[in-house]
Amino acid sequence: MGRKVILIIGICFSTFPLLSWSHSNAEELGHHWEVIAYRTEIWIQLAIIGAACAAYLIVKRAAKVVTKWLLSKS
Amino acid sequence: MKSIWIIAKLSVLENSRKQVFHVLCLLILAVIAGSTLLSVFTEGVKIKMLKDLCMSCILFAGAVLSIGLAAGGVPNDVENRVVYPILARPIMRWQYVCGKFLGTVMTVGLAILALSVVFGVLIYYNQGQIDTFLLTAASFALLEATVIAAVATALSTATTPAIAVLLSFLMYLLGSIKIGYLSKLLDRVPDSLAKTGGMMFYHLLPNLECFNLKAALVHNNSVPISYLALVIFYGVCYAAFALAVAALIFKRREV
Repeated sequence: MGRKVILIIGICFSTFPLLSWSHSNAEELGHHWEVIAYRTEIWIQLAIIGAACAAYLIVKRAAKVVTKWLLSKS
Repeated sequence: MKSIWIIAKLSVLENSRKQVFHVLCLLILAVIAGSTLLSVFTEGVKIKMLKDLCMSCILFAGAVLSIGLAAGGVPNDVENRVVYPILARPIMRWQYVCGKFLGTVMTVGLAILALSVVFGVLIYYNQGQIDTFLLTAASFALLEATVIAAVATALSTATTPAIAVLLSFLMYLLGSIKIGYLSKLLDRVPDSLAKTGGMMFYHLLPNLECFNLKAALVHNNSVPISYLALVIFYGVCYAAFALAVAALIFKRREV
C-alpha cells in the first residue's frame, strides 16, 4: 500500500507542471467560457451520449422482440 | 435508494481510513498553508498567486483523490471477498456500483470542503472580505472530481486497480489539455485512418477544462450563467453515462 501511495503521488506531482502550462497557454487563447470550441465540444459529447443510450435501448428492445419471436416459433 | 445510501456510508468510512486520503490531504493543506509565505510579492500579485496556487491544489487534490479512491474501490472488494456477503443480500449490482461511486464522491467532497475552508480563511485574512465565487469554483472542482470518479469506476470494473489508476490518470491528463492542445495535434495528423481513430478517442475523452474556473476566481471575471448551467448538465450527463457503463460491465462480470 505504501509503495502504491508513493507511486500515485509521484505520478501526480510529475503531471502538475503540465497542467499549469496548459492553463497559461489557455489564457493566451482566451478563457474557456469565451471560446466557442468548448461549447461545441460539450454539445457534440452530449449528442454522442444521447445516441449511445438510444442505440443501447433499441438493440436491447430488438433482442427482446427477436427472442420472443424465436421462442414462439419453436 | 436506501441500500445505495448504506453502501455509500460504508464506502465513506472505508475511504476515510485510506493512506492516500490522509497523505494527500495533509500534503495539499501544507502547500495551501505554505502559500502564506508569498509575502515577497506586492499585495495584489500576492492575492492572485495565492488564489491561483490554492485553486490548482484543490482541483488537483479532487482529481487525484477521485482516481486513487474510485479505481480501487470495487476491485479491492472483489479481491478481499467483501463483495460476496453484500451481493448475497437483496442488493442489485448496479446499486452496489452506485453506492461505491457515491461514497467516493462524498469522501472527495469532504476533502474539497476542508481545503476550501482553509483557502477561504486565507483569502479573508489577506483580502479582508470573503470571495463568494470561491464556492462556485469549489463546486465545479467537485463536479470535475465526480466525472473523474465515474470514469475511474467504469475502468476499475473492467481492469485491475493498477491499470485503472494509470488509464484514469491518462484520461485526466488528456482531458485537461483536450481542446487547447489535443485538437491542434490531431489537425496535424496526415493519415486519414489514424485521424478518424484519433477523433473518435478525442470525442470520448471528458472535457475537463470546462470545470476549471480558476482564471475567473483569480482575475475576478464573471462567467455567464448559461455556460455554468451547460457545464453542470454536461458533467452530470457524462458522470451518469460512465456510471451506467460501469454498472453494465459489473453486471456481466463474474465475481
